[in-house]
Amino acid sequence: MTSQQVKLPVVYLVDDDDGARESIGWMLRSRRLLSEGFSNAEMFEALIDSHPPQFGGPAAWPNRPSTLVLDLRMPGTNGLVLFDRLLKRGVVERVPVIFLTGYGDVSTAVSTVKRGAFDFLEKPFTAEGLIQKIDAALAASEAALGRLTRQQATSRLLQSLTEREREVVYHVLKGLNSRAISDQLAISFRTADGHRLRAYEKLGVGSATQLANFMRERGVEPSELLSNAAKQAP
Amino acid sequence: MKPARASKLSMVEGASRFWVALWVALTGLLVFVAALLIWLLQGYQASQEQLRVEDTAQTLAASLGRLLTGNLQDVHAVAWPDKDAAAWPEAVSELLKNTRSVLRIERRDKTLALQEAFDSPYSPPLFSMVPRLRSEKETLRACTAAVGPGLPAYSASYFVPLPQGRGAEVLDLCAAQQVNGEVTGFTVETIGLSALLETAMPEAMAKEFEASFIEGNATRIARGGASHGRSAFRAEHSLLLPGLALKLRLESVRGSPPLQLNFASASALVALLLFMTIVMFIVRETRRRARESALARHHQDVLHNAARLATLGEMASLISHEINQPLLAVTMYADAALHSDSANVPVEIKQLLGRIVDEVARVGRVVKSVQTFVRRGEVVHETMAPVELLQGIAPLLEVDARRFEVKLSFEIAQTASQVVCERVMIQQVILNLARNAMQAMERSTRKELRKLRISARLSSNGRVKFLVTDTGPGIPREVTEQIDEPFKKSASKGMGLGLSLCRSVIEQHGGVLAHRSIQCVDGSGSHVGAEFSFTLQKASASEALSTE
Repeated sequence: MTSQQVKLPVVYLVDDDDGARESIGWMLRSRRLLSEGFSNAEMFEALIDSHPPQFGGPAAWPNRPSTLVLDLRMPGTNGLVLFDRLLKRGVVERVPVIFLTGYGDVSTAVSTVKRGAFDFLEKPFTAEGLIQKIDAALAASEAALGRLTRQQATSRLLQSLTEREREVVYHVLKGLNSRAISDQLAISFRTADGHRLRAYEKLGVGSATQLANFMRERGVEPSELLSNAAKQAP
Repeated sequence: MKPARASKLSMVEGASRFWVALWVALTGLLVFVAALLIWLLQGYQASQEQLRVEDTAQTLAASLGRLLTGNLQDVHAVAWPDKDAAAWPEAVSELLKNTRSVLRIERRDKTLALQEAFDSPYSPPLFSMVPRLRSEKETLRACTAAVGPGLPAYSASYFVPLPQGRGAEVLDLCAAQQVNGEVTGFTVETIGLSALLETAMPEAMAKEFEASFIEGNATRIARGGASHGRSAFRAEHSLLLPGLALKLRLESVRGSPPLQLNFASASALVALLLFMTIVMFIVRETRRRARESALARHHQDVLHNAARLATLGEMASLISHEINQPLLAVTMYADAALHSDSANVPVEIKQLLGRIVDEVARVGRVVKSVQTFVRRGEVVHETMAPVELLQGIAPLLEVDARRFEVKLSFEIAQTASQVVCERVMIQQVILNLARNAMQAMERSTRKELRKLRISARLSSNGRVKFLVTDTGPGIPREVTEQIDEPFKKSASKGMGLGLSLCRSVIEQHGGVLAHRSIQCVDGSGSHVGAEFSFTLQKASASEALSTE
């Protein structure tokens, strides 16, 4: 978790026009920003494909705050098509897309923003304009990555609970005390309380209130605990 | 503006009056021709009938002549019965039996005193009502005439009343018996004119004609044949006999034919009516076609103008895109240089770099203002069915298809729902694609293989897909290159530029102009072709509803 935050943000540039791509790269370098250029959509997708997702672990790509500056008009696979593919891959939240558009394409660009693009910039633009949007996009990317990391940590913690412990936690969240839980699950009071204490220990909480806060912060619904149990049952 | 309009209106009125006059003239002419035709036809028939009557009259006159000549010979035959008075009655009664037209035969001595008389067995005795003396004058004259040349002579005709109110017009034929120049006696034969006519007319003739003898003052003195002859067709013929001139009149039972609509005139009328119908049909068809082509031209003009404006805007967008790319690079490079923090860059250089950035920004503004100027109209996105979109340009496409001899078909799937688009631009794109395809096929494909299909259907990604498919030679490499890079290479035929405009329009609609060469197999074998396709956004339910 800490090692990821240290990683420097990166700006991906996909533009068929060499001049535009390289000049933006130079401009970003002068502002101490890392960038990587691609002359077509396929090359960019090859980069994504070279980071296969790892089971259970953190998402392989992107492993640092990133944004994609994408030219709308390109021969072959144009910006819209690439954007659609990224939507399908589900990465546009972690890699916000900033579209570069010409004059006539504003309406198209607006519609892409409605569908989940981060922003668009009409050519010609100033360096400051672009930098502002990139900064905002990188911040959004970082937030998304953070959310993802927390989610993954939470799910790892929840995974570490046994099936019985998750059931007990579910009922605690529903407001039952240990005695009621033992009745509900038809186990002894001692066993039920033991499950509860072990669960508290694993999740690092000391009370039912802390448990409820823990779940709310991480956006975990009580029912998720049960559905997980149901999944693991067979 | 107003007077010009008024004069145009009156011109239109004048033109319509002209047409009305022309139509009236044409109809009048046709009616006149019809009447003339019928009149001529009937005249022809009348003259045919007249000729027939005259022919028949001649035949009848001839046969009358023959009969009368026969009578002469008969008279001769009975006039010299070898001086044997005893054989005479037998010979005479034989003659009367055989010759119906002879009503009576008399023998007289040289003083013309009656010696013996025999009446025909077929009619009542002639002089039963009036004495023979009444007509003696006529007989005498004939006999006197017969003495001179020694040939039998006829008397003038005279009327003999018969019982029951009837009567007969008769004439006498007198032959003198001469022995060595001496007159020894006379034979008088009385001939009934009606009986003569009846004998002379064959049955077929008697049915159709009425024959009569008339005197100089047009008085009918005897008649035979049909009883109801009309005077519409008649012929007269003179019979010249020794000592007698008779006038024969023949009348056809057929009336004059003016009101007689027969087959010939009816078919003539029908033919004329048909002719008129065909003329009217041709005129109507011609006018309809003229109207249609005028409409198509007008439509084309409208579309053309709108397209020209839109194309101009599109060009501007394309050009500004091409200008903005390098402008962007200049800005970025200058900015990068400006922000590079190497200490050995003089402040002056940094100021100059700042100026470069400002000036480039100015160029950008100029380009933008040009675009705004060219494309002043607000882009209107309409919601419409693909059918509607294609209907607008179908007439133009059909005109082109006829010109290039291409079989054109439309295929609009039920699933192709309403789309949101800038109507004129999309129509222009389809027109452009279709025309390119037709031109390509004209250059390289046999006529019977030239096919162009324009189809619309729901695409897998929820948009509506339009396809323009041809059976041409496929897409040459330089065309594909020009679609992608309109200004990199000089466009040789404007086709590349047109296609890159199409691409630009489609991209503005959020779609992609895709193209591929295809191999298609159908009834006429397998052949190559090109397929251009693009997608348009489907109208949302509320938008679709609001247009209905």
